[in-house]
Amino acid sequence: MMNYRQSLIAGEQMGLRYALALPQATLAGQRGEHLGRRAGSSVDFQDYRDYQPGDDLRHIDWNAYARTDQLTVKLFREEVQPHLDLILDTSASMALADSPKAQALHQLAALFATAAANARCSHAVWVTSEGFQRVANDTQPPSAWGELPLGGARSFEEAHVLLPPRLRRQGIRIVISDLFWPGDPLPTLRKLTEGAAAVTLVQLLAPSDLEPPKPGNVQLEDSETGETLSLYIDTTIQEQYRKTLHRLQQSWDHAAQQTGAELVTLIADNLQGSLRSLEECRTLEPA
Amino acid sequence: MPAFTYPLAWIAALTLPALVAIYFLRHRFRRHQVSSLLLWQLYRESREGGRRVEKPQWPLVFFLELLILTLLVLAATGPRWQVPHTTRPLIVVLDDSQSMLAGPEGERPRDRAIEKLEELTKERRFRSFQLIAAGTTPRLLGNKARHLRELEDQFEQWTCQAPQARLNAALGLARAMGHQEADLLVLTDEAPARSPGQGHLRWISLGQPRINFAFINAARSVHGAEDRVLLEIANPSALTGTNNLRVVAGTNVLHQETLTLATNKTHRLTFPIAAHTPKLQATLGPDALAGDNEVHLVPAARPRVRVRIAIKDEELHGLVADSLAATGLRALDEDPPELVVHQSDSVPAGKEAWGLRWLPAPEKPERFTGPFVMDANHPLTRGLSLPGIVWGGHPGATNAPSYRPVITAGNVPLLTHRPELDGRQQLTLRYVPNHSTLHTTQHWPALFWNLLDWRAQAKPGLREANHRLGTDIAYRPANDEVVIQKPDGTQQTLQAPGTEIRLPVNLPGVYEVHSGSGTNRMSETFAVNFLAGEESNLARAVSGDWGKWGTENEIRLEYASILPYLVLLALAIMVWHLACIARQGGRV
Repeated sequence: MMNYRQSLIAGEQMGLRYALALPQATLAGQRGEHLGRRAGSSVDFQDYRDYQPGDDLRHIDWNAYARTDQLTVKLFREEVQPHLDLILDTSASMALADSPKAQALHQLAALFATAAANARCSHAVWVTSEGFQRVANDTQPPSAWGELPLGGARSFEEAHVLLPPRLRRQGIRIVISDLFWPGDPLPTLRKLTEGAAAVTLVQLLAPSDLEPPKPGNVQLEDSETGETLSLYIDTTIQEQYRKTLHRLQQSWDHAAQQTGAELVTLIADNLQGSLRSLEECRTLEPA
Repeated sequence: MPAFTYPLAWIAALTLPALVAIYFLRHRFRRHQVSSLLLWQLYRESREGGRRVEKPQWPLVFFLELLILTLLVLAATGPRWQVPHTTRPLIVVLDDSQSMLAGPEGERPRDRAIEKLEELTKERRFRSFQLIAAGTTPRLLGNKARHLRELEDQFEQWTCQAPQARLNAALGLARAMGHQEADLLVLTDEAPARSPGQGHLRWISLGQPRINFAFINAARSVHGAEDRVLLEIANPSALTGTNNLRVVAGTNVLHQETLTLATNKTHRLTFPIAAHTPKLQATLGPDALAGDNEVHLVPAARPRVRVRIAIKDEELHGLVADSLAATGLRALDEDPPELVVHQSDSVPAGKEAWGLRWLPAPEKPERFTGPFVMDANHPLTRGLSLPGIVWGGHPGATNAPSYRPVITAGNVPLLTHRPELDGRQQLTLRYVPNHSTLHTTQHWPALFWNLLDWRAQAKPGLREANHRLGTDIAYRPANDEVVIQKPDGTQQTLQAPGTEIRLPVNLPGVYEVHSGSGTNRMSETFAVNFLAGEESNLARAVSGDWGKWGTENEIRLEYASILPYLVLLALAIMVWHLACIARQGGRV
């Protein structure tokens, strides 16, 4: 199994094939190469408005002044550099033992960061710890990132309450988590989508999250809390587990629809095969 | 302490730790880390599974299964336990042979045996009584009785008329019935071959050596136009003796003489007698055993076969006629024919007509010199051998379907046979006399004698008229009901659905047998004689007591099988186990 650094490099290589798909209408950010939603200094005409003191005299439409005898300035679309906030759930459940979940998290994070760079987006990487924190060197290519603090005792929701991430307004936000926390997902999602240009929820699941253990006596241990539960698992229980997982995914899907976010489920041991769904939901596009 | 018949079966006890291991491993939990227990908060909703395992690790069914396995393992070892009672069933094997009637009334071994049995029952208590008569075949004289008085009816059936006593076979039956828990008693007049030790068998012999003259052989056979009588008298006693022999036919005394015979000497008497002489009776004077002092000899059976020769060739016709005449088994008349010798392609008409089809000679016959292959089990080849003969036959002949080869030269069939569904037989002979030498040898009349004798044996009725007691008497009835008139005057009707039956004969004397009705009615007389030299030998009769039964104390120390109780207990616990499982909804 690859170590995490190798996973970052592998994800970076995977990301070279993709570019982050940018929502045109609502982008905002620092000066850059993409058209923003506000007036700016690009060559794309946007609108007219009356001259106000302080306006750049170079933008006065002298032809209009000749016709109307009023100073009118031409407004052009601003050019911005969009920004990606990559929010990673690094709680203990994402480092589930005997599963490729952590490697997949690293690869995905690196993939999105690289795809963002390909789309000429700036990016920041947030991880859950005692609240949300930035990863060291997160604006650099993934291979230069500091170590992601996996195995935190705080869940995503707790960390959000403790210290929420300072997310860039009108930026693109991608959340990578297994979304296993109790409670209604809608409030959490509202906080994440507030002021965002686009939000994509990537639910990253291990195979053992999808399929319950084989029948028999099993002592289940919660990877985050350490709590145990001894159960006799039979086919009925297995079926009920699958139904519960499906209900959880449905609740997230409904919340995403209500808040305009996209929800994509990826399987950790088949990451390459799952990436097509990211293209389908227009989160990624070929570079 | 219990005793174990098969202690090696304790190996099966390995299943006990195996069961414990199964339950131990079954209740162990394998650890499994999950991302979150969020999705497992549903276990309370499940009825079948998902229950938090908080009950004891060793449920009741485990102990029931452990108990069942223990009982079955114990049962497999064949355990035996000391019996609490001091009595046993008694199975008495009674010698049913004639020698048990030797001696004057009241001193006969049979009388003494009954007295001895009564005496034994006074000395010792038995749980039940069972009588087995040891004759030619062992037979039960009745049901098991609780008291000796209930056996009086059964003693009447102990007639002692058998020509031999198969005591070992009867003892085998007794042992099988007693399940090694019964006392066995043999009441006879001879000593055991091997003295039994102490245990379950007691052998009491009540005979006495006596002087006894006996007919050991008696026959009346066909000898040309007359009958020939053979009588053989023996003195198997330990002392020289004298006795009178008298042979009568009706009121005519045919022969009378006084015999003086030394120990183990025999006297043989043969004389011719006219075939029409009716029943002949030979008697000896009174001695120790009356049953072997009298024989009856009825006229010998003269089977004749009606043969029709349907062959046009005069030379061949003459050869066949001469061959048939040489056998002495051909009847004077030929209608309706029972055997047709013909050369036609068709099967002879008549429901009793067997056919011998003599195939016409081919243009160029082939002379076969062997090797000849014969069906040695076929009735036609009895006593036949074909070395050095030349057999003129049909070159390249092949066997027709459904025909069974009887004699072949290599693979060329010479004599074949096909049985019909109605019991008739059809034979095909390929023989060219001009190119053969078989008809010039003694095997030729033998072949025809075999043919006529085979046909005669297939006719209804008895094959022989005089029989030895204890041998099977075959009888072909004319219809499916047979009536036997016995020497004691009783009559017995038998159902005979097949083609041949064995007549039930258990007494010496003259019998009559009838079957058929109307013109088809058939009545025959036959004699059955007690001719058993070994049984007439009273020199071997002894008195003695061999073997001992266990004492009451010994019986108390004996072991009885407790296997059935263990199995029953195991079954009961299995039912309990099932009930427990059902109550728990199929879960353990």
